[in-house]
Amino acid sequence: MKILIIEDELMIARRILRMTRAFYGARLEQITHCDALTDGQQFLSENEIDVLLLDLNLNGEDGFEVLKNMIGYDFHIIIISAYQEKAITAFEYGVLDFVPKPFNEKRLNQAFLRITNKETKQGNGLKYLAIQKKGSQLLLEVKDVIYIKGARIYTELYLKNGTKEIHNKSLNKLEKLLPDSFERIHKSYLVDMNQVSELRTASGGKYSVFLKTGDHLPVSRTKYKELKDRWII
Amino acid sequence: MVSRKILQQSFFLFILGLLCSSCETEIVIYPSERVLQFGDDLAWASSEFDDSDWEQIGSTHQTGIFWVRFEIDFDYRIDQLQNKGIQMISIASYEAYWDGVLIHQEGKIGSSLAEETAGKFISHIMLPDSLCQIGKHKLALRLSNHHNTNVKGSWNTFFVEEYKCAVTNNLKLTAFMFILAGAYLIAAIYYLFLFFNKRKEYSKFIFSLLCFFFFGLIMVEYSKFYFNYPYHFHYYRLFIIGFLTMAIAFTIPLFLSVHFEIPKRKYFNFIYGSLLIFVVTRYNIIDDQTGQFISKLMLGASVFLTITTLVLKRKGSWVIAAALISIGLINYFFTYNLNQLLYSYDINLFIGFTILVLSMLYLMTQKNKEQQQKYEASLLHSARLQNELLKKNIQPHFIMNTLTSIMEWVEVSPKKSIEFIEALAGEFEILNKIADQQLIPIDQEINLCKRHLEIMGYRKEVKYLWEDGGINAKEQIPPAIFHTMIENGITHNVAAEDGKFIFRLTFESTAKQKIYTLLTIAKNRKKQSRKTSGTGIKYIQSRLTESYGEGWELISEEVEKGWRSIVIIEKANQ
Repeated sequence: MKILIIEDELMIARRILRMTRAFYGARLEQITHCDALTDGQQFLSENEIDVLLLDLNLNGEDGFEVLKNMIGYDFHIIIISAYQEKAITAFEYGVLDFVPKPFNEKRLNQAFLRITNKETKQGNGLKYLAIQKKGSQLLLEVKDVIYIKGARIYTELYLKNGTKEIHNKSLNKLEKLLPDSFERIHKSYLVDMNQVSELRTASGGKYSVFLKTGDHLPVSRTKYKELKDRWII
Repeated sequence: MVSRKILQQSFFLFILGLLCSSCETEIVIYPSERVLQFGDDLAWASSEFDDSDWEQIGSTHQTGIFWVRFEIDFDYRIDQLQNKGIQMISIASYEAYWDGVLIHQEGKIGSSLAEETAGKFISHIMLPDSLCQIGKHKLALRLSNHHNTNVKGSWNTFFVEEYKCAVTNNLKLTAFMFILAGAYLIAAIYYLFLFFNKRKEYSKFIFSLLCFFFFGLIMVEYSKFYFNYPYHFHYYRLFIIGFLTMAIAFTIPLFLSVHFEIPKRKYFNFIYGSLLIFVVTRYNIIDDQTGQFISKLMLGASVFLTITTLVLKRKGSWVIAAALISIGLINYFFTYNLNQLLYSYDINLFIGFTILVLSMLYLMTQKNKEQQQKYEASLLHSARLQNELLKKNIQPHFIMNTLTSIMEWVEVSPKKSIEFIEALAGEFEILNKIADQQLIPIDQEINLCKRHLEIMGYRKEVKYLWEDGGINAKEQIPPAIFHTMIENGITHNVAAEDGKFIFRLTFESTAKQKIYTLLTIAKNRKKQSRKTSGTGIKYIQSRLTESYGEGWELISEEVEKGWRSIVIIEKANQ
């Protein structure tokens, strides 16, 4: 596990470091602390991480500008912030958890557990997905996405308007952030069930969903039964 | 002088009609002819005497004993009067002979100043019925005017009407006008008191002065019916009236220019005042025409100023414009629609002035209302600032981060956490003490800053140092100004190359200013977009405006050593 902490208060950074080390123990490969956004971005341009622990109110900067900078990467973000009322908006941008200050060890561990647990029905109200276009970042709305296809280190977002965009986060990570209407129907596919018209069985034990657009996507056998129970199609 | 008398009579005839007095008979009979001769001969009293070679003049500029003979024609109307009375106005002592019979003595005739006793200006003489047959009658006056020193000369005029009415009509009119005078007096005293409350509002003083002038004018104009004065006082009275008219003519535009803050008004008022003084020295101040001319000048000046206020879009300029327009309309109405004879300078004067004064009163009350609203808004604003300062205690960024740090210290080094909590308590204590003050002693502010630096030191593990120099402990400053600045300083800076992070406050006092300089000796963070109008700066600006109005300045700039903030306070405020 590789972790970056961006926090401008030294004592609080120490607290996070201490607790993170206690939680991960030997599993912790690398942990770094930056006390400013610029240093953090510098680090990220040269290193890969799995989780970012981010304070929204860094040195008087606008927290959401900071956050927007971070959501385009392939790592989970856990916000640790004094401003609890910003939680809902943070989730709209796609953070895994929002830990309000002051925090204790139990609460921080709860956030870490979200990364590894199988629980995917968290339904945190993600609204935006960041994509790179012509060198700058753009925010797409989740409601425009029909389905997502995994493609090695990145994912492809298939939109209602027929276009396709590239996103940096893996399907596993996206699964934890997307609204409940999105289902991981297959190792390589996440689909918005509201866009599904039919669940079909073909001969030879192949299952698929048919979308309102007419396209069809494969469904894994294990998932089929679950889907049938959960969704009335 | 004849016209003035007729004008005044017309005026109170007008009021008479309005008042519906018990004197329903409006029978007034005027003499038809008048002749004058210097000299003295009792034979001139007789009604048969032939005065055809006498001069047909109304007044004389010579001093001595002289005779004036009037012819008056009684028609059928004379029998409708119950008691026939003469109202005589005279600038001389006299003996009155009606058809040769001595009916009245006013004062004592003399051939020198010492011999003569001055008679009264107005007298009422009752005519016996036996002398009042229908037909022509002669009234002969034997007069002496040694007491009259005025170049204007001596004259007489009279009419015959119901005796009782002659006496009471004057008093009725006077009573009515005195009510108006009382209103002006109260207004004058009230606004004088208001001015004493707030010395800087000169428009209140000018308005009070104007009301006093009006009060004086009415009193002097109408007191002649109340206090019947000896004849030679008449010209003194006219002089006072003329002077008051001039004073009013000057004061009304003066008020407009001050109330509406017309630019360069000192020049305007000086030129206008000089013009008025020129007019009254060149032309006799006693004359009616001079008074009318001055009133026209005043109207012209007021119109000019009103147009200026309309152009400058001053608040309330429409009120004065409406007043002037209605005065103009009344002028027109009275001049052309009623009998020419009724065109009275007096009517227009008082109605016009009253309209102007009422509109000025309205303007003053509007200004009062505005000031009251501003005051209430500033009270609300102060309450908000106090609230903002109190909330500093519990701003999430401050309190949540501090509590998290305390949690860490408690778990890692309990001893240090105690010190931390004590420092925090210290800051809370000071913040609560100063929150509802508008000004606090500078050393209390410095204590607050030091506490805050201590706390931030525990949080960030940076040794923030405080230095100050030249501070005068007795000086007062709005609360939490430097506290806000050091908050910003900590956020936007890191320790300098040598590891130090210093805040240095210095104070300097010049003849006109007090200058505080806060120097942040540290390294500026890279690529920081310095917010010039963040909530912190807004708080500082609001506090400075609250206590110093517009007499302050705030400078924030990057310097070689780090960052510098300068607070300049104009001394005029204190």
